[in-house]
Amino acid sequence: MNKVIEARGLRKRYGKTEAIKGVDLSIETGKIVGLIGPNGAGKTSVLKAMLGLTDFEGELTILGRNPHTERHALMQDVCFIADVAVLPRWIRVREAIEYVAGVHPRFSRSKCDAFLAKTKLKPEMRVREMSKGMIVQLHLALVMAIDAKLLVLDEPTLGLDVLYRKDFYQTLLNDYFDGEKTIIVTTHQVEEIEHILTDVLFIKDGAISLSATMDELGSRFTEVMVPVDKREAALALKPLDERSVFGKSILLYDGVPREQLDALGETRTPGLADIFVATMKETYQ
Amino acid sequence: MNTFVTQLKREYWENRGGFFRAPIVVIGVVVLITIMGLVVGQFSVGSHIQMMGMPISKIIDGMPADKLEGVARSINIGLAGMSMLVQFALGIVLFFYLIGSLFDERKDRSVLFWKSMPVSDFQTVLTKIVAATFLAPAIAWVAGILLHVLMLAVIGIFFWFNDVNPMKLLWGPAEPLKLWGVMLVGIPVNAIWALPSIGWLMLVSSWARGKPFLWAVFVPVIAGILLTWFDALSSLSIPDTWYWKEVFARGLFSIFPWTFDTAGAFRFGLEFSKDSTPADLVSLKSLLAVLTTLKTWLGAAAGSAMIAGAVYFRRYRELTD
Repeated sequence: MNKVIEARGLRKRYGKTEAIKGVDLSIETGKIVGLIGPNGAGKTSVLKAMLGLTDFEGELTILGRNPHTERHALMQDVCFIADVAVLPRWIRVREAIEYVAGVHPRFSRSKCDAFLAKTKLKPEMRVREMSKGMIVQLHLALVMAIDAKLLVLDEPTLGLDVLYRKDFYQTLLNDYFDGEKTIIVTTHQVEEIEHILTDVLFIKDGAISLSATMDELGSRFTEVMVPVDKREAALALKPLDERSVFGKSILLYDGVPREQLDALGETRTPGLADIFVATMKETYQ
Repeated sequence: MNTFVTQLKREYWENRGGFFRAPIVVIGVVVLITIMGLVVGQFSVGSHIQMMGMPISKIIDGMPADKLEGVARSINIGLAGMSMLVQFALGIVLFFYLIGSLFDERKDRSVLFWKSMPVSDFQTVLTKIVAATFLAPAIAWVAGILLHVLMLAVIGIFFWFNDVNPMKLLWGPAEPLKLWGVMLVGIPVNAIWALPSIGWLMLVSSWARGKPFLWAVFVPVIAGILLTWFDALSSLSIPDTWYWKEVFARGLFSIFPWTFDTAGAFRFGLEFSKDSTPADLVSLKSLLAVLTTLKTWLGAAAGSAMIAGAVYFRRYRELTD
């Protein structure tokens, strides 16, 4: 398999604080990876290192290149939205399109126009006149019209309403993604992306705490709704997390066979958000 | 090539106000003030403007050839002076353009967008230099021509109105074509001349985490004051006047075009005297002097080194605080 991203012992220090504490990663072509972690876990630092925006220690290759020393060559094949609303405030829609068309060999103007046709953006509009959501729409249209091998989206839908967000992820999956591309997404709205992901990475305190495909996740984690009388037995199996709803306990297990849990109560596959909350629980404590 | 042109267009879009509108405003103001002055003069004094008891038209008719030569010289000084006005405005625009060139994009975070494009940091810095040394000066050059044409027309009409033959006194002796030629040749020479200033301003712009203007101006000022103190306190002979002239002035202000004299040394464009009028400064002689002075090339080398520093910081500096 083709490796798009390879990292070994990736570290990044800001003064005395270590934002990335030795991350090992390997991402193959054709994946849609969710990079998920609480605020300050180091998501953005990892992404910035991948995109050549920051210095780092350790080994990191993106499409076989060192992102820090070969950024501009890498950007032929990599696209990213590293932060919301970073388009320059003076630029007009028309100018932004002309600029990207002029400097990016893989940009398709017709694709971009098609994306923009779904929005209220007009060619003469300036970024400073737009709402936050409109700026994001413009940025997404520009980036999705580029036929890149790797697309990195850091909180791409922040500030967008739910209608556009749903539409965006649908478009990303149907019109943009194909087996040749790889996408990395970070977001806090975990529920909205879990159905499009193939893989998931949890990051916590600057290290990867979980790396799995979505299928593995389904077989590893199980949620059981346990009536009061069986709670003791259930707790003995060392659940990751417990919450109670209507007097019943909902317990989340990692690596306990489902057959064993079926005896305790109603089982189901937990959502990504539940697993995230359970594994990150102690972060803010 | 396509990338380069697009990058240059992007610089123009962002700086249309400074590159295009500023010279137009200068032209507008100068022409308007002139027209107002002439109209007021016409109505308050009318055609009674006299010199030594004779109407001007009479004086001109009887003027000997050597006097007419003096008139021609004055006209050409006037034309060069008008160019200087536009060039001075250009200098101010470029000064602030360069200070913001690599800072503003970090401040508003748009550098994250620019860096997501396949354009190297060297290309980016180079485009900004070309915008400052060729694009903006070319626009200012055209603006200077426009100013000359308008002023010659306005004053000519005024003469004609007062029975003075503008052909004889103004349009004939004026040598705008020669001036325009020198101004055009001056663009690349001024680019070399400005390198130390370009280097310093871009270096600060790429490096500063905040307040690039203060860094750009106060570091050289404080360095100069310290040198002056040392000079006064010790017998250590660091010539501080040398510092102010060759380092401070060149580093900060040689971005102002035509800030050199006929010997190729720095002088601020607004100090004129009898033998260094604008017409003397804007000449092939001064351009040649600049190109054949070693200091020019030492400055250019220092400027290039600082530009290399700016490229380095464009690559490695992260956002401002």
